[in-house]
Amino acid sequence: MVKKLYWMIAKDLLSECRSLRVWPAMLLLGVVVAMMFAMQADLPPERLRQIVGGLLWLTIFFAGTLALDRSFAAEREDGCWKGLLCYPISPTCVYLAKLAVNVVALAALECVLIPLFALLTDVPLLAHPGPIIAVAVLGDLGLAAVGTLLSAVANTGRQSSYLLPLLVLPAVVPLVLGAAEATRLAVEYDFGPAWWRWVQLLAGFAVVFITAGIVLFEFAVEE
Amino acid sequence: MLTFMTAYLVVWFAVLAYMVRLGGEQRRLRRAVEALQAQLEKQPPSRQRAA
Amino acid sequence: MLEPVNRLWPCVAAVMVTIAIAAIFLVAPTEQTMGDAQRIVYIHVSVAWMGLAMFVVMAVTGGMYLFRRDLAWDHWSQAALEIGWLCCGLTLVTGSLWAHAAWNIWWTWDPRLTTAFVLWAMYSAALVLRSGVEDPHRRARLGAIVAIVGALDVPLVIMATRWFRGIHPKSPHMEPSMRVALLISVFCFSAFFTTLLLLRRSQLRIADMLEDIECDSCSLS
Repeated sequence: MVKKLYWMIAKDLLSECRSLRVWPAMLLLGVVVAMMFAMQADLPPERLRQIVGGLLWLTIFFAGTLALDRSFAAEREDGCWKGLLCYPISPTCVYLAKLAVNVVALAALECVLIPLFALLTDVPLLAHPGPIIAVAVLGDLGLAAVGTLLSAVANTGRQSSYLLPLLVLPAVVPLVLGAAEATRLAVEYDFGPAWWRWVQLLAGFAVVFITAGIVLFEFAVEE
Repeated sequence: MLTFMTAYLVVWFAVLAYMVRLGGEQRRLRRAVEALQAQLEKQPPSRQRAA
Repeated sequence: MLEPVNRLWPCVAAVMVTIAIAAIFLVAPTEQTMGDAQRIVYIHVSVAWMGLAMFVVMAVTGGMYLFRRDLAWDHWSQAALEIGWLCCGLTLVTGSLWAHAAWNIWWTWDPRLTTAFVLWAMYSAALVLRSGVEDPHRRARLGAIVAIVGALDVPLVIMATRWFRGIHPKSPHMEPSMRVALLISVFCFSAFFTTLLLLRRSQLRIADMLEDIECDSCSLS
């Protein structure tokens, strides 16, 4: 299974690197949304520190949804979806592969957005990179777990283009809250019980929804 | 008093609207069932026995 | 052919609602600080509880459909979705009016109201999803997945919002007669909405049967 997983991840990443279908648009959308938020949030530095976590994670969500929505688009548009399902590969493997690719996409987005927000708002997001990276990784896992599963659900009906944000956003409320608060506490160098509690919530969210994805994904892709 | 009346009016209006919708669906189903019963009665006895 | 619930439901609904209204106006006294506006709480708590209960019903019956692949379970799920959406929407409206009466603000990020909003958004998304899928089994399958994801999410939402806003305000002290009125109101509205649930589920079942009969007669002719 590990070999098949590796093959699927490599296939999707290589395909994206060659075609550049989604990632440029996702990065551009992220930059534009970040600029708009920064433009509107013309506040004193101490107020900005309190809200920068929320603005950052909302930007990651809106731009990242583009990548999540297109998780299965390549196979479906090129008529390869049935072929993939006929291939001797378990739905779990397909789900984990798509999840990994989405995590990489979100990580790439954060590599651009976190320094950009630090620059635009003058908030020291990169002063302690370790905690910020930990929060980002857990947030990416949770968002990709929910987004990959719901992308498979959304991309079957007529309204796939606008349905995914509608499905994902309510589901990731605890994740966005947790990541925003953990980022705010990290920026304020407060790594006490409150920060650990939020990190545990993010980890719990990721574990619960990766498990749910593994169990439910085969029902989502049944023909 | 105004707040309380507004709340109750909104609740009852929403519930009534849903009940009207259910009532409309009920009528549609009743008509469909009656049409089906009429169709069944028109069928010759041999087809009815087979059914 | 139409089930007894279809004939009895108007009577049951009317009786339950009458009892609830009588309890709210005759049993419950007028509150000292808020006056009559406080009576919103009797209906707010009732619809809030039903909104959450319908979500649990939707998730459980959705799970049963995935297990059994019997559309009868999906009829329960869809009926619960509609009633739950209605109740959650009413929770938000009555909660907002209550917040204005109590604290002079139209909205508060109280954990309960926030949870109600997230539930309502998930219900709405499920309704939009279902409206776009024509095949009944596919619709049932996808609806079940969304319901289960939502059900897993609700405890996390409650935890996150409680930590975000600190300890939520304790419920105010209620007179015994107020508690009695609240219990009667919750019971009667629960019975009322459960009657609507049974009726809607029965309608979905009959519509499904009619569709099967029409399909069979088309294939025969």
